[in-house]
Amino acid sequence: MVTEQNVQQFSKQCENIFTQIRRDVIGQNDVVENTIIAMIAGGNVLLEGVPGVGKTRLVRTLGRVFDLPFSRIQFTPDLMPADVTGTNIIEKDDKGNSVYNFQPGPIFSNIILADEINRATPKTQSALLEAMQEHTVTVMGVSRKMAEPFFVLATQNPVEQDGTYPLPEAQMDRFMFKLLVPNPSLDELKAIVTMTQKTMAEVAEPACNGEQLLEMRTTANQLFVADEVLDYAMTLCSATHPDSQCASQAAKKYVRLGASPRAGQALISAAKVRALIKGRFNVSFEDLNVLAYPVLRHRMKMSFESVAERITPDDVITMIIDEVSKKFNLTKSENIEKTEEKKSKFGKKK
Amino acid sequence: MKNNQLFKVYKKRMTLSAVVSSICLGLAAGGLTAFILALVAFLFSIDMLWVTIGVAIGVAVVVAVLLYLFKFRPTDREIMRRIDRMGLEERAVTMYEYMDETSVIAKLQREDAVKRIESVDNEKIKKSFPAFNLKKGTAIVLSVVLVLGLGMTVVSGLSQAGLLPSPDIDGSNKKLFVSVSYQVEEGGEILGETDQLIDPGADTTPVVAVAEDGWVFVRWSDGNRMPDRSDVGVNEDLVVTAIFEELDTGEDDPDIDEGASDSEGDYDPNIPESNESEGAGNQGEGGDGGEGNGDGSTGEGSGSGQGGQEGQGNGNGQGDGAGGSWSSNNWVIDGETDYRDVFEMYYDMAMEIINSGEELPPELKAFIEGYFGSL
Repeated sequence: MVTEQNVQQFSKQCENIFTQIRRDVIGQNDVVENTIIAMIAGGNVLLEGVPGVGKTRLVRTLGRVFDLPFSRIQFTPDLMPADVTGTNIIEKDDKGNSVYNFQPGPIFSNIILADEINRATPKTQSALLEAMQEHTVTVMGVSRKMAEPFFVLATQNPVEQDGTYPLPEAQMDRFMFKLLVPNPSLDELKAIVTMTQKTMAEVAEPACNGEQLLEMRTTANQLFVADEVLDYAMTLCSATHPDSQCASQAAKKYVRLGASPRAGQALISAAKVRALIKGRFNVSFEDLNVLAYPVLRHRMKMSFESVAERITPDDVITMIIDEVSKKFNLTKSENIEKTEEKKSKFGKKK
Repeated sequence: MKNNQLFKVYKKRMTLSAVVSSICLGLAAGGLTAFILALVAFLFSIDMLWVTIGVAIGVAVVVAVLLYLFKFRPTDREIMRRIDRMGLEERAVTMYEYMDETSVIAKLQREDAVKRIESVDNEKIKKSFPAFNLKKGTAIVLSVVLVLGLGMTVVSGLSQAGLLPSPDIDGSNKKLFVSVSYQVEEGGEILGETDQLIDPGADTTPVVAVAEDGWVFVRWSDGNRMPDRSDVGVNEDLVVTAIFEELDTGEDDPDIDEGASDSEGDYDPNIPESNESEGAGNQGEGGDGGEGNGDGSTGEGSGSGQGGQEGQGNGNGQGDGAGGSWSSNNWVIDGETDYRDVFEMYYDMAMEIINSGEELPPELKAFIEGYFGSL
C-alpha cells in the first residue's frame, strides 16, 4: 500500500541519488537520469560508448550510491558461462566425504557490471539471459534466486568490431534501455580533468538502499496512465513493425523487425518512473516521446535501406514519433524539444 | 463531471467555439445551396428567388444544428484534452479518467491537476480557447462560398426582375409553336391547311394557291412566285398572302393568242391517267390539241397541243381524243408553272385516298372538279 509518505520520500531520494552521482560523474545527465529510471523500474541497461567516457565509473558510482553489492565481470572471448554463473566444486565435508558445493559466480550480486559484453562468446552472453529476465540462475538443474534488486548494467564499444560477438536479438530485448554515452562537452571535459587532477577517488555516498529502491519501484507502479496515453505508447511500439496495422512509413522502409511486447512494458514502466521524478502523478506524452529512444533503439532490426542511407534507429524513432503524434492530433507543444532537434538533424542529413 | 466550477470557464469557451464553428459551416452550406439554386434559376430562367432563399436558410440552420450536435459539441474528455494542451501534460485527462479512484496516488494526482489548472491565467485561457477556432484557410474558403452564394442569389434575383438578361440556356424562352397563316385577298383560294401551328423549326404542310376563273396567281406576299409552297424550318410566325390578278378577256390577251399547233402530243397507252406531253409550239399560237387517243370513258386521254404562253399547250383529250379547248387560266398559274404539275400531285393524292376507301376531302374534290371544269 503506497502512502503519501512513500511518494514524498520518492522525490527526496531521487534528489539525493542525483546529487551523489553528480559528485563522481561529470555531465552525462541524460544517461544518468535514464539509468536511474531503468534501475527504479527494474530494468537492465546497455551502455554503448567509446572507451573512456565514464561508463564503468557511472556503474560503480551507482553501486555505491544505492548501497548495493556490486560485481564487475570483464567479458573476454575466453570467458566461460561458469565464470559468470558459478559452478559446483567438489569439497570434503566434515566427515571427509566428497560433496558438490556451489560456488556462486560474480552474477550473484545486486548490481552487475558486464563490461564489454560483446567481447564474450554467445554461449557466455547467454549465461546472463535467465538472470536478466527471471532473476534466477540454474546450474546443474538447480535454480537459485538472485538477490533483489538485481540489475545488469552492460557496456559495449561500438567502434572496435574485431573479435566481438554482437548480442543476439533475444539478449538485446532483455535490456530495458540502450543508452548511448556521448563524448563529454568541452566544459564537461574541463571539469572532468580538473576533478581528476585533484583526486581519482570516488566520493559519492549512499543515498538509498536496496529496500528503498524496491519501495520506489512499487510507488512508481501505482501511477496512472490515461487510456489515450497508453494507446499512444502502444502505437509507438507497433509502429516499429513494418507489417503491423499501424506500421509507420519509416518502419516500412527502414525496419526489418520491430520492437517486441517487452518494449511496451518497458516504455510504460519507465514512463511512470520518469513522471514521478518530474513531479507528476501521471504519465504524459512527453515521457513516452523521451523514453521511446532508449526503449526502442536496440529492439529494431534495421533494413538494408537504412544502412545504405545511413539512417540510424534514432532517426527512425524520430520519424515514428512524428507520424504517431500527427495521428493522435498532438500539437507541437506536446512534442518534446528533443524530437524536434532530432528531426532537424535528420532533415540536414537528408 | 465533478469540479464543475473549475471547468465551467473552459466548457463555456469550448461551447462558444463549437457554436461559432457550427454557424460558420452552416452559413457556408447555406451559401453553397443558395449558389447552386440561384445559378440554376439564373441559367434556366426559373422564378424561384424566394425558394432559393428559403432553402438556403433551411440548409444553413439544419447543417449548423447537426454539426453542433454530432461534430463540435464538446465532451468532457475533449475539454480535458484541450486543457492539457495548455502544458498540463495529461494531468486533466488522467484526473478525468481516474475521478473515482480513491488511492493515495489518485488523490495526489487530482490535487496536482487541480492546482495546475487553477494556476492558468485568464489570458492563456483566452488564447488557448478562442471563440473562433477554424483554421485560416477554412475560414477563407467558407467566406468565399458564402459570398458566392449571396452574390449569385442577387444576380438571379435581378435577372428574374428583368434587370439582368438571362442566358436561357435551355431555350425555355422559345415559342412552343409557330403559327403559319396562308391568306387570300381575292381572286382565288388556298388549297391545303391555311392556318397551321407547327413546332419551331419544322416544315409546313404544302398548300396551293388556286386562282378563280378570270384570275391568275401572281405571287405570294413574300415574293415567292410558286403557287404551291411548303415552308421549311419555320422558326417565326408567318403570314403570307396569295396575290391574284384579274385577267382581261382571252381575245385581247396577247399572251393567250390562238395558234396552230404543229406538234403532236404523245400518248402512251400505258399511262392513261395523265400523260404529260410536251411539244414545241409557237408562242402565241394556241390551237387545237394534237391528236390524242384517249380513253373515252374516263376522259383521261391526253392530247397534247400547243398553246399558252410558253408554247406548251395543254390539251385534254376528251373521249374522242379531240384536242382540248383552252381556257385562259388553266394552263399556267403564275405565268410560269404548268398547272398540270400541281394538278397531277393532287390527283395522285386523291386517287390514293379513293383507293384506300376514304372519303375525298372537299377541298381536294373541289380542286379536281375545278380543274376539269376549267378545261
